[in-house]
Amino acid sequence: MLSNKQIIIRKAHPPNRLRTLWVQREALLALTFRQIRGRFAKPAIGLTWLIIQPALQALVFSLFFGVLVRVPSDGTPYPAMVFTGVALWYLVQHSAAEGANAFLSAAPLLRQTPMPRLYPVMASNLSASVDASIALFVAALVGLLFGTHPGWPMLGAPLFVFVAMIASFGISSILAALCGVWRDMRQMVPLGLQILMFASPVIYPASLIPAEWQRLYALNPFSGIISALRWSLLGAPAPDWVNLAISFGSALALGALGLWVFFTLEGRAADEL
Amino acid sequence: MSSEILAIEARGLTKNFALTSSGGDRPLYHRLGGERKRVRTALDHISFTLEPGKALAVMGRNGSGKSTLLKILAGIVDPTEGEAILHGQVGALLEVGAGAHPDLTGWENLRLVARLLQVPSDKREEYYDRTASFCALGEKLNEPTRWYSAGQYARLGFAMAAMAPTDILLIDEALGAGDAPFQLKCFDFFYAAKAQGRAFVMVSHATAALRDLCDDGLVLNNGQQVYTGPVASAIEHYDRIAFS
Repeated sequence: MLSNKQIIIRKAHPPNRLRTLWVQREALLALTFRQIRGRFAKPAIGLTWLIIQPALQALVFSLFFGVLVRVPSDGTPYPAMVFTGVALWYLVQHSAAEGANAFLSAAPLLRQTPMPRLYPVMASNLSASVDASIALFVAALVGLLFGTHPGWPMLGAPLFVFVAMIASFGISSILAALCGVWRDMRQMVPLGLQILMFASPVIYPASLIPAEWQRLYALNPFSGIISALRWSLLGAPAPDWVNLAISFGSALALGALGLWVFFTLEGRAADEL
Repeated sequence: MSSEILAIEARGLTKNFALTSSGGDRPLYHRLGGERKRVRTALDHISFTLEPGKALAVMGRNGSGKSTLLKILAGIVDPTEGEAILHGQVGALLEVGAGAHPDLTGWENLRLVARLLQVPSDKREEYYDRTASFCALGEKLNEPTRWYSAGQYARLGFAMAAMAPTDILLIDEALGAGDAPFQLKCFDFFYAAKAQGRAFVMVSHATAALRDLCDDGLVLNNGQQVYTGPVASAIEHYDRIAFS
């Protein structure tokens, strides 16, 4: 009668925690679906939020920074440029905000269903990236409306979104672990995100940063990713490939750091459940 | 000791909760001054075995560590020391409603839970049918669970956890779910499932029900294991602690 499965419960989880993340992947998909579905339950305008939110934000930024302050936009239409930045930032902001709350909002589930504690964090990340991808698609359409001519670089967009997912996964899993153990850490999340946004080329092009600072700036993974997305979706000038490589490397490092911090602290955060 | 394979083998399970490092009563920087870490021992070297087809009653007063023990067995919190070996698929019903999403309908929750509990895809349909007929909520399953009464919500949670193909089921205070007919149904389910070789660990204060359903009893007092043995004498021990 007993299935062959054997579970050993010990102080430290077995070192193959990464493998368990893969084994129960169906639960992760279910959780992601639940997040998406739960967000659009009882809708007033439903999926339209996905477009309206970044569109309004892009409109406000366009009026202030495009029309009034006249921020340059690398030869692309400013509204399309800022829309691309805002759309990608949606991924960072939502996965970070939901990651910071993960141990609180997923508590009923984590108290009930044995599953990797990283799943709620990963699910927020995945569902936010679905939203961001839709918004990026709309950003590209806005670009076409303003007369951009993107070409084959469009094929790179999925890769850039994927690297952005890794970087924002790193941020959200670090926040999830820190805020899970020390609840007051959540206070700094909105401010931290705002600082990070201004340190990323969301409302301005990366070319605005002086040449001697470009290498340092590239350490922010989103600087390279957003520039690459503008090249890919709007036909903006190609990014500096060395800077892009630095950004990619730093995204991978951030993702790995996120895993390490989370695995180190998750046991203590679980005690608070 | 039987030579058969055991459903659960727990050895020296211990859980300490840190009182100062987190949890909000003192900020982190207070510890930088060299303050010693205070701990509360919620469970102190708990050991027991459980054979397939048997049920273990865990008894003790509020705060004696019963729920912590179940959470450790479910893999929700990690033990500080000791280990437990569980043979088979483990299911848990640790709080009423089993984390059903209030905005999703009963059916949507059911399909979600099937995937969360890793019910194999060829057994899903059977699982849906059995759960729906067990909780007997009928058309109510098409409504979001936030419209359920407390009893209906509890019935759905119990059915979702009980009907899943698990070998070991951990149940915390869920025996009181639902009305009298539903409780009778739950009792029938327990007897049938035990006959099939499923093992249960139950936490409850309903000693009458535990006496009927369980074979063994484990009594906890302030995290200490004070008695382990046949359920009838475990209940006597528990009564002596509770009313002393």
